[in-house]
Amino acid sequence: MRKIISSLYIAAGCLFMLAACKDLNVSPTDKLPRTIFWKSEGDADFALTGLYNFLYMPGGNWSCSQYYVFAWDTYTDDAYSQHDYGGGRSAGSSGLTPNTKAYVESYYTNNYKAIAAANHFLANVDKVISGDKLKRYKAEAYFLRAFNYFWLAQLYGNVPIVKADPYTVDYTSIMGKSTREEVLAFIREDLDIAIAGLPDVGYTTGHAVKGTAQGYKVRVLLFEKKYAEAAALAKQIIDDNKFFLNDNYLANFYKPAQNSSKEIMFSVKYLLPNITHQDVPLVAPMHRWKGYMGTQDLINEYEVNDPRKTMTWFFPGDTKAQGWPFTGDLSVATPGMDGWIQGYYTPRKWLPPGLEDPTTGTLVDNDFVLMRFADIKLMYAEAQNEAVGADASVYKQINEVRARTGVNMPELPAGLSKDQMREKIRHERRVEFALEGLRYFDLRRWGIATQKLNGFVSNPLAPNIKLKYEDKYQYWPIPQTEIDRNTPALKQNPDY
Amino acid sequence: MKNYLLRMIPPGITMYVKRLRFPFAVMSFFILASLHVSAQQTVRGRVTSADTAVSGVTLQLKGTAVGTQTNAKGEFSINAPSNGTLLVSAIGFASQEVQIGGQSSLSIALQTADQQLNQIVVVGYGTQSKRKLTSAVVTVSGEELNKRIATNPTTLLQGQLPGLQVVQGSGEPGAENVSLRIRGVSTFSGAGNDPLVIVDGLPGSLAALNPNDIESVSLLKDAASAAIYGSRGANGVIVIKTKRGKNGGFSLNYTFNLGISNPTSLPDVVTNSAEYMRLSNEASANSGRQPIYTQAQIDLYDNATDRVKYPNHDWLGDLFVTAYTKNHYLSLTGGKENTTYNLGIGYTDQPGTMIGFEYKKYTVNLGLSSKVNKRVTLGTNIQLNYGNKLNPRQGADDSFLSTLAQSPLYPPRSPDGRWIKRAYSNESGNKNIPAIVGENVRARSEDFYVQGNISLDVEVLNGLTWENRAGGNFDAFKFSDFRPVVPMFYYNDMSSAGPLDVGNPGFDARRSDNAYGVYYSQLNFKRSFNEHSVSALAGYQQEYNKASNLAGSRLQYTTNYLKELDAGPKPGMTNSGTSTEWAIRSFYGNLNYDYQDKYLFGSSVRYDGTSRLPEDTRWGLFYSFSAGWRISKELFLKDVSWINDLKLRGSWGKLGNQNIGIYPYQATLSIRDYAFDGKVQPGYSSGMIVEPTLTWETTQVLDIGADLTAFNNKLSVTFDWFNKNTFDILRQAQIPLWLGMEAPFINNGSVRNKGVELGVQYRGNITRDLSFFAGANFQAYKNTLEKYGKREINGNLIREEGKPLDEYYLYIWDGIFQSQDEIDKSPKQPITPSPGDLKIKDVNGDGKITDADRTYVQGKYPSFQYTLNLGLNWKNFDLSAMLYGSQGQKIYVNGWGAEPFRQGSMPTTDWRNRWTPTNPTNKMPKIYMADGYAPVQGYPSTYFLKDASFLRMKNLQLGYTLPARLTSKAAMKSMRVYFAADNVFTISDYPGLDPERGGDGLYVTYPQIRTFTFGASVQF
Repeated sequence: MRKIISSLYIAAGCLFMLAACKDLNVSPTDKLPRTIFWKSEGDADFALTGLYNFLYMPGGNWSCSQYYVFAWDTYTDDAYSQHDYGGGRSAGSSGLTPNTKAYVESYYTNNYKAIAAANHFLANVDKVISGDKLKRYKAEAYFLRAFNYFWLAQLYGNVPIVKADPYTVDYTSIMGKSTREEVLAFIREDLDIAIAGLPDVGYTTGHAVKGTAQGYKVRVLLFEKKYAEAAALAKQIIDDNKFFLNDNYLANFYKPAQNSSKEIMFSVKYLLPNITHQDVPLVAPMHRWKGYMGTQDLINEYEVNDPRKTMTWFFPGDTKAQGWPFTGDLSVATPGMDGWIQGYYTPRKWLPPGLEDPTTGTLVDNDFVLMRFADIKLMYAEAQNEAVGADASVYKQINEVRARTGVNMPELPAGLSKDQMREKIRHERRVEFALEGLRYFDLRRWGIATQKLNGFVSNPLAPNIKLKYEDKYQYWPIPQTEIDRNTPALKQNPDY
Repeated sequence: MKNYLLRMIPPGITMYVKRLRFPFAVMSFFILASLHVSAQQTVRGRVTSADTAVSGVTLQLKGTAVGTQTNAKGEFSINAPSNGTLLVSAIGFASQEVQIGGQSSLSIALQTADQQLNQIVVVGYGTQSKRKLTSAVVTVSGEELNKRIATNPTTLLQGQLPGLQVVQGSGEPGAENVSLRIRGVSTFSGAGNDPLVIVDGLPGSLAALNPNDIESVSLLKDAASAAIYGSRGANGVIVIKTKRGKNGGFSLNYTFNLGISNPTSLPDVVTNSAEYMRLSNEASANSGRQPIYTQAQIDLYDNATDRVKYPNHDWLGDLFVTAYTKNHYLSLTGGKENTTYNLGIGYTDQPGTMIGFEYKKYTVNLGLSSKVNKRVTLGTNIQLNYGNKLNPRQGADDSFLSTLAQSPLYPPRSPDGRWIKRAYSNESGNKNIPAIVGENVRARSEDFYVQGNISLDVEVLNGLTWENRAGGNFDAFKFSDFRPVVPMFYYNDMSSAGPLDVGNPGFDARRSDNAYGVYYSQLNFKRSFNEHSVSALAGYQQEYNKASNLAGSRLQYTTNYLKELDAGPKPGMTNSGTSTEWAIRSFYGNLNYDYQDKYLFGSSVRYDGTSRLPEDTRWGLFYSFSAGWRISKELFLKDVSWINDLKLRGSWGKLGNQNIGIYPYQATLSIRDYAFDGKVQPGYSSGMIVEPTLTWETTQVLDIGADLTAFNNKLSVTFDWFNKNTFDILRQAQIPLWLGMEAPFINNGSVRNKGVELGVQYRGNITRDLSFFAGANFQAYKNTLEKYGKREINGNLIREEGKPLDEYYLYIWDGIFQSQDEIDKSPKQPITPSPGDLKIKDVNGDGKITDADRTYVQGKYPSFQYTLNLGLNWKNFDLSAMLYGSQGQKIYVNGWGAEPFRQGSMPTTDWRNRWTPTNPTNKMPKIYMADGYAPVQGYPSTYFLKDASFLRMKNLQLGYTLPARLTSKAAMKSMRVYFAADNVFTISDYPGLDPERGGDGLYVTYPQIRTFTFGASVQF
């Protein structure tokens, strides 16, 4: 008996030992530990690529990011989103509140995530590279940091300025906000470093170039109403001859034509099959589901015979001849059918030509264009007009945009006053950049957002549905979460 | 016998066995029949209790399958050897063994079982006699559970165990979405609120079992009972024991039942096409849209005589069908010569009441135990489960809402067999589910699951056993989803309407598996010295888990017939896969002491280390203390004869929870690629902060309880009061957003649940033939978020200190604006209303409606829940009923079915009472298109909050046991036929659908089902 017991003990003991080998130190099998980073030169490339990846961050409704530029037009008198892509519809009906999670909180959060990554990059990249390469890489990071702060400055205005490597910051600390002016000054500093370090070439690979940073600085200066400086810098870009208007206006908006467009100065790059639009390919929400529809008010804005009207929108009765992509029973564009709400217009811009029956499975990978050369020319015109009036250089730039091959709009009449020219420029921006997300920021910059948007009847067939916009939206509410977590240092923007 | 067995074994092994002197009698279970024969004789006798004859007493010849039952006069007769032993058992009485001793006539007197007191309760790492329990443990037997018929045993726990809240979220076969909460929701962390489920001593799955294989279920509610499970016991523990054979004979049991199921309730929708069209146009006008239908179209439907061309189609009638569920269950059980066995085989075929849903479940349960030696017992329990599930690829909610989002103007399929998308192309809607099912666009999942263990118990010394158990489970899951291209048509002119909406045409395949291994070894000591008795336990356990998955997809197949990855085109194909692992090591022990069986003390301790926490803080110590006082044993109650037993008990202890993420303390790099220059460039970023001091979430429970049995054990009462506090909750820190980082996991926050539980049962006889029982369970608790940090509002819920966790935080709906004048005079609404829209209350009275007018609304948790069990036995008939109620909870629901014309969905008929200028009601707004109609849908308001209190007859069952004289002629031991009804009726104010559901969200969920079951159970 004793023998049995002892042999059982031994057997069980062995089992015990075998089983006991599994220790409690297990680590993720598909992710690298943070501690191995910043050891080799290649890490600088990995980290820099990582900074650009923040351009894919979702946050509006239905995975729209804030770089789904067309979604911004649904915040305005240009477009309407029946499915609330990007939040324009709910912002225009319910208004903006500090507790809005989508767009109000998520865009804020996304920008700061990108900023934190840039701060971490700037604090560490010199461990692995040096010299010109270091300067260039840092310049890109400075540009991206400024790019993200500029979004914050435009939307929320007064926000905290964070420059430190996030790993050196105590996560229980709190912070107050800086004024919009301070934030913009900080952005200009970053952009100046970026301009000094970025290569002076055209934009081709997706990496920001000197012209990109200069272009954003023009936007900043214009936002600050520093018209003379803005005009001077815009002129530099124009004179530098790295960017050109594309002879095919629509080729700026689909692949592969976008790849060789010398007009694009910055964009969010996608690549089939692996890097696709968030959620579903753009053609599904935009063209199939009619998620971004143009308003009658915008259609009325186009001058007679402005070809950009039919380049940007489809009209009832359009067929394949006009580029209408649907076939069979849907082969003739008909309001009221297949999601088309009567009183609005279906987009044509961003639709790759020749595509039939676009839907969720359609493979498209349009880059989302964030800045193109036409904008620089029109910003020059605007800045110069404000600074010195409608001189010949103002005419030249705006007329060149109008005279683009394929658009061929006549020159503006001579002798316009400054005010008249201002109206012409505003008109030109609206039709040139429809569905490119600039109008919301233009209206706010011009100080006419409330006037234009509040009470705006988006669909003339539904006159009782009116857009809501209040003066206080000039400064979006800082997310309530952020206010709560930074009490008492951080105060809400006025009137929320 | 031993020698006989040894002779059966090949000589080599015999030699080996002999040399080791190791008795391999475990093999004896293969020998089901004994060849042992002795002199037979007929033994007659009578069984009585207190001089009254007892019928239905089972008498079995020990060691054989021979058995009989007493008749109504208490008499029996049995063929038995003169030196045999009879096992005598009857419900309500103590079992006994009677030596025949050559007699031919026996008179057997039964003693009433002190059933409650001697009942053995399965607790952590062992068993305990109920009278010695000092902790809050409740138990239900498999027999009691199986009075209801269900395919997922988890659902059967509802109402059976006071303290356990069971919500069956869905009636979907194989995906019942059952939530188990013991004593409320105690944490807001990702660590979760799910209790630990122990099957046969080791963590396992309850849902994988066949309900018939369950012997008993114990619920360990307080710290004293659960602390021995330390790290994993914070949310309570459910301990399941599966069936093992009983010594003495062999029995074969076969059960079959057929269930006929229908949804308990469905919303009543407008199916008259012309009415639908008029309402739709009215809603369009109210919502600022153009009418969808022309007057000519409405007239067509209004005046049509051809109802094939112009139907009033009832889509819900297409979606829901009567389902026939078949359950087969066969068990072989028995034991002899120190070996017992139980084999249960189950097969369930359960189609859904919603078309397209099918579930088949195959189960095998094997339990073996062999006392291989006077001191050594070997055992094993193995459960296999194979589940095969088919469902429309986007699941139940989508099927339901898509079907509501059809208009009654067309059928799913034209008379010539073409699938219909809409009647007119300008209608909105969603996918045609009959087409999805008809074209078999269904997700297929197969689940292979096995759990099991091997145990080896050695009685080292008298009173000291060494117990070892090794086991684990393995789960392999296969999933495939093929999405074909199916042409659709418009019904008005049968023109092409593009392909059926199946998502992105193509194919997805997934494989995932999970392997879990666990092992424990413990010493168990029990000893009594005069009036002192002591039991102690000490052990070591370790667990290891590895999960992995692989998935692939391809798009745009050229054919609908080939449904594998290799058959698809390569462009756009994707794949993914990863694995995770975790491990826990534990030392545990307990100590119980009692003096004179009167003063009881218990303590348990556990020391756990987990891979999920950092090395320096991964070990946690959890312990409990408990005491009981059996007052009824005191002299001063000695003469109170109506009390059989009265015990007061109290316990306090600490439990842990670590089940948060897999690697919450390890900072890793995120993959962040970008498409530069026509190539995908690899990128990384590190956005994670980790907290190096991360440690256990702890739950502390104080429990005070009492157990009473009285009136000759007819009445039993159990009462518990508890105060459960969870603190150091594992959660993500509330870091400032400007930091731009993923918040680290930290220990912070606390939630308290206080409550009472009461269980009362009474069993009695009215006449000799008529007995009854009645039971009631009651539970109520209050939840408070005591420490959280900054308040957080998430949609319609708020987390704020001092309030219940996730309390509703809403605008108050305050009637309907009757006129523009009223709007002008009312506080300014943030969304400009028009007459007929919701009026939102100005809670703070500042003359305008802002965020500040949102307020706390009670109803996230039920105020109390209760169960009534009733039973009646009359002669061979048995009748039982169970009522289950839940009071005080509300549910926030919206979308299809709750709101009109969401994607064109059919409005419910109560919209006939909508607000109109001529019907100035305050109960409903004007009808609207619920696709973002801001004046209603723009607010999280009480408009969407529905009262979900209910009382329902959960089950009603009538059974009849055939008289033994009939069954014995067919060589049966017994046969019972029964009829059962599940979810018989429901009393509730909840509109349309069933109030018992998984929580807030879309109104549509897979409806609960009402089932009528016919069954028979035969024992040989």
